[in-house]
Amino acid sequence: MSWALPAVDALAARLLEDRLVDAVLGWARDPDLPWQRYPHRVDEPSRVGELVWDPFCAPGLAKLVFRMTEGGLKLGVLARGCDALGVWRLIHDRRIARENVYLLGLPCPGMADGVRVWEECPEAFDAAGWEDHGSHWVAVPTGIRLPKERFLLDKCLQCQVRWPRQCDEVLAVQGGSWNPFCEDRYRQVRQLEELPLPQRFDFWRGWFERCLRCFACRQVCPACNCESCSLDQFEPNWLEREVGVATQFIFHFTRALHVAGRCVDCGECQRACPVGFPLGALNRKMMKDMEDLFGVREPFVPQESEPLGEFALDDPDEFR
Amino acid sequence: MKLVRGSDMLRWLRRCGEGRRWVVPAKEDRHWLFAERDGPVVFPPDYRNATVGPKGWLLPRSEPILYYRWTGGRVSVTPAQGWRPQVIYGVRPCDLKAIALLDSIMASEPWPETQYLTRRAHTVLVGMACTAASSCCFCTSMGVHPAESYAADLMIYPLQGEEYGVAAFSEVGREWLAQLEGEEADAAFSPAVPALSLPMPTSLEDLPGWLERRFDDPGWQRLAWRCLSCGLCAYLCPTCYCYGISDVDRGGAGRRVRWWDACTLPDFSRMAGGHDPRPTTTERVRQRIMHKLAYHPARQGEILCTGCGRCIEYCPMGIHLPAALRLLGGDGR
Ligand code: SF4
Ligand code: SF4
Ligand code: SF4
Ligand code: SF4
Ligand code: SF4
Repeated sequence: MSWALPAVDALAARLLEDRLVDAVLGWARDPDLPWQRYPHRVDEPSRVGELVWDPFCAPGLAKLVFRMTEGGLKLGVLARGCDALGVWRLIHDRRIARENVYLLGLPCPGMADGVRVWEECPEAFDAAGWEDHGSHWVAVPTGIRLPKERFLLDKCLQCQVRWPRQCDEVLAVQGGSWNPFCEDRYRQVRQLEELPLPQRFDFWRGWFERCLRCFACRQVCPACNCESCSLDQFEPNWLEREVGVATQFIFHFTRALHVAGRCVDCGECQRACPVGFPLGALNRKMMKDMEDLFGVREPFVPQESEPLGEFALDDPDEFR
Repeated sequence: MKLVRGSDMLRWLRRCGEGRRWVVPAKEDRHWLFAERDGPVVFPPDYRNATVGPKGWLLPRSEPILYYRWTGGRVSVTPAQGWRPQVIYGVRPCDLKAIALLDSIMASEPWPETQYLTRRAHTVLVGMACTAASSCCFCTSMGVHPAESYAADLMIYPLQGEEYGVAAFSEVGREWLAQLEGEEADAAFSPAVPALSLPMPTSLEDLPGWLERRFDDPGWQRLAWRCLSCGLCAYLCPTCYCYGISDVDRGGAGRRVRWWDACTLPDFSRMAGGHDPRPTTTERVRQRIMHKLAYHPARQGEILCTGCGRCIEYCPMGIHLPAALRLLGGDGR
């Protein structure tokens, strides 16, 4: 049994034929780069064959859904756990109308770092399909086994949302099982909290120096959906264009605090970052605080009402 | 070319570069970048090229260009002194070619970039020819050769095992090489062969015209709709040099700062009053690619892409030059 791509195709085709959606968003194979899948939109039932679902579908889709549905387009979205939560983030932030998206949930086995697989095991790309064997992906019919421990994308190693939640339909495909690599989601946060202050400062300063401030993390983030970002404004100029340790602190802490309580832990910022900045550690620190201070058990799941998004007249803390 | 053992080569380089800052490829976490270290190093066999190239050591991410102070209605201005003698070591040919391109752009009249040129004049570039390419390298498609020296003062060619060949290509390079004890010989160097090649629809010479004729092609939209409008591709690109200028003002005194900008960012072309001639990702992605492959070659006779492959490998949405050429050629999706 392969990885049930036909099931994905058939469902996408049905949605388009029944006019439940105007287009379906998923991934396509890159004709130039064997290891790459890019976000792809299909408008006609006859073209669903262009969609692909295998362990190399790295890009997250949620942020694209935002712009695509702006004009009222009804969109079917192939959604792994991370994509689904990202779309729900945008729904709760009133950026996407619920009725404009149809979420086709894909239980996810975790995605591989394609370039790395290409460099170490190019034969893997001769596969006709894939099976999920828990700790490995297995190519069909070649039987090539790729260990997840070695090839999972960083964001997928840390993932705690493999099962697509709150979808209109969940496809019966392999995947979605518990992620053994993320037993303790706050491990890195605790390690950093335990570092003495000077070392902790050096840790972050080192990363601030490496960060190019290319904004890929912000642009890909479904929680960063403001029409006009404070970090871009010139008047008032909240963030100097000058890039130094001080302004990098402002940049990263502003972003972390602005997505605090709204970050869905999709890991897209981490995936997009070209220098490997540990954005997940910043975001999870905020999540841990949400848990500790407000008792939110799953701070990465968007809710209708959220502690930091509410105004309560009986708030014990006054404005000062 | 002089033949030398690796350890002797490092000792010689260290001696010649005494008193200079050493900028070398360094692995930070899992990513390679050019960082300040206390001397040259031997590359591990898996090193291809750095994610973040040496560009920032010549054209920093941001730098003050002048300091000013208002006193009694008059302003006094001091130009910034932003350079230190340095050696940039282990630079790959694609990045050496990019530096050669930047050199001519920054020197162009009527406003030569004195700060860049000063920094450049105090830099010794030690290049390293490629024996293996990474999966996204396509230098040869752009007419760049993985053993060519371009802007380098000295070029190192890894030969067998511990053996290296060294050759000089400038005055300072020859001075340094004269101090190296090693036998003068011709050695055969077998350069990397990049696996990736661009699906060229036409010759390199005709490419600008071919692209200009496709300015309004729907292929641009089919490529760029998924662009996120970040600055990643431009910031990693060794030939992207656009910058912006603003003042960091602290009550009557401050500094004028120059910082990297990118034509892919949403506010790059927004004008006072709000008009934006490149309002969507389609125009912006087109601008970046056209600048490299059409406008610059048409005006300066040189392609502004050296095939380093960084934008291909790191674009989070899989937008890249091969896809652009394919879509504009009317082939594919
Ligand atoms: S993606 Fe990485 S390098 Fe770019 S701004 Fe974000 S943290 Fe910095
Ligand atoms: S901050 Fe990062 S992990 Fe959180 S929602 Fe944004 S992209 Fe996803
Ligand atoms: S693009 Fe060419 S010159 Fe640059 S690193 Fe790759 S093989 Fe070397
Ligand atoms: S092409 Fe890719 S890297 Fe460049 S701005 Fe668009 S999304 Fe960012
Ligand atoms: S356009 Fe891309 S491949 Fe060409 S030099 Fe720039 S980053 Fe490298």
